[in-house]
Amino acid sequence: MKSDFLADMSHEIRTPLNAILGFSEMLLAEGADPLTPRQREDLTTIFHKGQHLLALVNDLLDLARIEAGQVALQRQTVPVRELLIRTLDAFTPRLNERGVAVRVAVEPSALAVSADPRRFEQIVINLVGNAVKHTRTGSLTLRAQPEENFVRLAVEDTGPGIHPDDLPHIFNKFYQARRQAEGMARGTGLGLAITRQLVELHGGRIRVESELGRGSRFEFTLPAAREDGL
Amino acid sequence: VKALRTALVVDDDADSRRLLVRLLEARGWRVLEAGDGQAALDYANLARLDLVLLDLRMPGPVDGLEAAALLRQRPEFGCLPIIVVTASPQEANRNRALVAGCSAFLSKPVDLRQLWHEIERLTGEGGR
Repeated sequence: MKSDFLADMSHEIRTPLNAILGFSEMLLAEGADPLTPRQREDLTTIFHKGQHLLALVNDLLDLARIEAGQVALQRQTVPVRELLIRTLDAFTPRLNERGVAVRVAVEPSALAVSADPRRFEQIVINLVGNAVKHTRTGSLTLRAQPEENFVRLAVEDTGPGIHPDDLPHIFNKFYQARRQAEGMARGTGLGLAITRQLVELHGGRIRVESELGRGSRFEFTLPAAREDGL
Repeated sequence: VKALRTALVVDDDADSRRLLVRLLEARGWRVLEAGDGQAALDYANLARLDLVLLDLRMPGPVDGLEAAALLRQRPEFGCLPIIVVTASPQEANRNRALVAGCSAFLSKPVDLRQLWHEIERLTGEGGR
């Protein structure tokens, strides 16, 4: 069965990663035998690459489960404004540090969607995380407004934008856009693929607009919560 | 002088065991090691335990869940902190572990700060 294979794969990768991350973290934290700067740098690389592998196995597993139809949404009525603000909180220190302004525009303010709150949050974290990673100055804006039986949400940034040649491919697995700023941490290459799958699993759509030098706007829809709460 | 507290580390992966043993010993714990569920139960007959760190998926007739449930059945281990440290962190396993009487559920790779937080919370003694 495929589900067993995925669970086994996860277990078999996590077990050696436990030793790799655990021992490197322990050595980095140990005060008794100080490391030379070079040893510290090398160990830090091992630790960070181990973390990257963990993120990769988590994303791969998530995507494989969604694609195999094994993810069941736990739908409920989720107030949009609260979720957006709560999700933004984790990013606020980094944005404040850079002087990036943050706006949340939800009209009407009581707007709610019918969604799996954990998955809705994951979608927003992925899109906001990308925007934060690329935006050094300017602003980050989250919007939501009703549109027939759906709610249209948008994440807008004033980052460097995405090259027109890259735009049609950025939701593909492992696609790496050509224009990455120096020293930018490489993601797993699966974040946007997962995001698209999650939006579509809810019955919504996602798309992107971008202009080089101006910024990007990711827009997605989720079913609106019905008045009767179902 | 306070008596040494004793932890039992149960895991079939020797490296995962060694990691936890090193961590606990560095903070003054006495540590016993078991490579499967049956060995864990055997130790429990011999020693007073203050903490168990328990893997779930292990070979042999007694897996982690069964070991936890059997330990919990004994009156002397009614309050023993049992922390699961597993490479199978699916929600269903978490629920099973809590039903079996485990006190906390952590996933591998284990976040060391989170582990100490749980040890301190459950035993009042994490070390530094």
